[in-house]
Amino acid sequence: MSETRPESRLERFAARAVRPAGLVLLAVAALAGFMIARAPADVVQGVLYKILFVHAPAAFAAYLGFVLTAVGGALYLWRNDEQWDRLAAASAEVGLLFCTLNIVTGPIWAAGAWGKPWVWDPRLVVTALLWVTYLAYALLRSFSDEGPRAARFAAVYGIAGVLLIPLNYFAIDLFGGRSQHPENLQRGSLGVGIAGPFMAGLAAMLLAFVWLLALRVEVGGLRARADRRRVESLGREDLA
Amino acid sequence: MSYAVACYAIVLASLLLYAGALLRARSGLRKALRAERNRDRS
Amino acid sequence: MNVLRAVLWKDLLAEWRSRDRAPAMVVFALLTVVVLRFSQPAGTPAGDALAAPGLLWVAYVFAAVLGMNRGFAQELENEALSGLALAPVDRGWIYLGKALSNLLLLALAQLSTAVFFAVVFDVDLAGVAAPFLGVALLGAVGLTAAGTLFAGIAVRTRFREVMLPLLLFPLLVPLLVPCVQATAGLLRDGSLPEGALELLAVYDGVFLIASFLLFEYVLDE
Repeated sequence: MSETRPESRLERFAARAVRPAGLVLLAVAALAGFMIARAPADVVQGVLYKILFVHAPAAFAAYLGFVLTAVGGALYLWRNDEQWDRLAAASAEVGLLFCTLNIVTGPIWAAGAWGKPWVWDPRLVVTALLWVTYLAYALLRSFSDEGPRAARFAAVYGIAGVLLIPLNYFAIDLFGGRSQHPENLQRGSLGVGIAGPFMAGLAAMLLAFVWLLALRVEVGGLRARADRRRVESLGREDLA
Repeated sequence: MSYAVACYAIVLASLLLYAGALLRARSGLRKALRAERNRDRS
Repeated sequence: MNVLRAVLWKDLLAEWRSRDRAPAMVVFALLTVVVLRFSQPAGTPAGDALAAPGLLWVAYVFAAVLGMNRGFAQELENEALSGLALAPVDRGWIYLGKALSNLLLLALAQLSTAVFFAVVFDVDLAGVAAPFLGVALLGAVGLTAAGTLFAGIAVRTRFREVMLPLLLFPLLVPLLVPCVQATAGLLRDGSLPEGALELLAVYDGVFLIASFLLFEYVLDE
């Protein structure tokens, strides 16, 4: 067995996927950049609206990330195979990054477009709640004692968190966030000719997520292999 | 206009920085694992 | 089922003997109400219908967290958690037993706080007592359903007391919003917002079922 490859089948697959995914990402990102740059300026917002092309896809990636975190946790609970816990941890990390990007670009756009950084739009609030959930998940992992217990706790919380996503939507609706903000965030309302750049930007962002996730999963697998070898070599020293 | 530029800059910079950190971690781990394997063989 | 009754009985008996959780929850909730009243700007009318319902539920949430934190802490101190975990029973029933005891204590605190709150904030809760108690109960079920699950987790992490609110609060919105809005509606004109009770019921159901199934992994030793 090659001792320099990641620990598990899942992670070896991820390692093999990194290069091809990266190449596709470069191509798609270049295309998206081109299309976004060429997209016409909006009548009202000028070039500012183009923030949408990164803001919304980041949210997609954030939700995908949390779903994967929950799925990884569930698979870990079911199979008791640590590779799934490592997948959950990796997805939580990458997903948190994309969620943060969404939370940061939103107020920048809002401040520029409507003068105030925050509006109580359901989608914004639910994504903000997702961000806080990501944080709580990360804190739970870091405050748990290392080992299977931390993995189990994280898995339980991830499952609970993902169940809350649809509930949060209904709750914010009830809260009265029915698009009180002046502009409609639906892309269709922002004028013609932006469907192309939007889809390109979405593809690029999702590919970035996949690529970073694959890389992060590989690193997690390598780390696990390194840890295991460290434990083994310590054991051998004791025997010697 | 500068708002949009700022956003794209933040997004690209963050993604690139994170990717860089992961790539560095990966090469460091690979090196360490290779060293261990070579040590075991010798 | 026997497990549920056994766990419930044990908890309530322990509580009756030591009498530490219930008074603490009640007093803490009352103090929270007082502080909240004084945290309002000078001259705010006591019966400010906009702020009052939310403040009541803040007090409820704090009392719930306090109670549930203590609920598992006692077991941890006496290493009884391992005993529970080793018992050859479906751990879901242990969860339900604990959640039920938490619920009863919380309900007690809710009742006394409601009375106190009605006086301090000058609102007429008595007029809508029946529907309000229903809302409060549904809310308490949700709080204890989710809280007991997370308390089981939190009690074995490094920052025990902080961990429970940390885990619970991000997932509390679909509970808080309907509860507060329903309370506000009841106080305003005796009405309930559309969909509030349904959302509450769904939330309670989701957490009860999920926690029943997942507690297996929380108590695993």
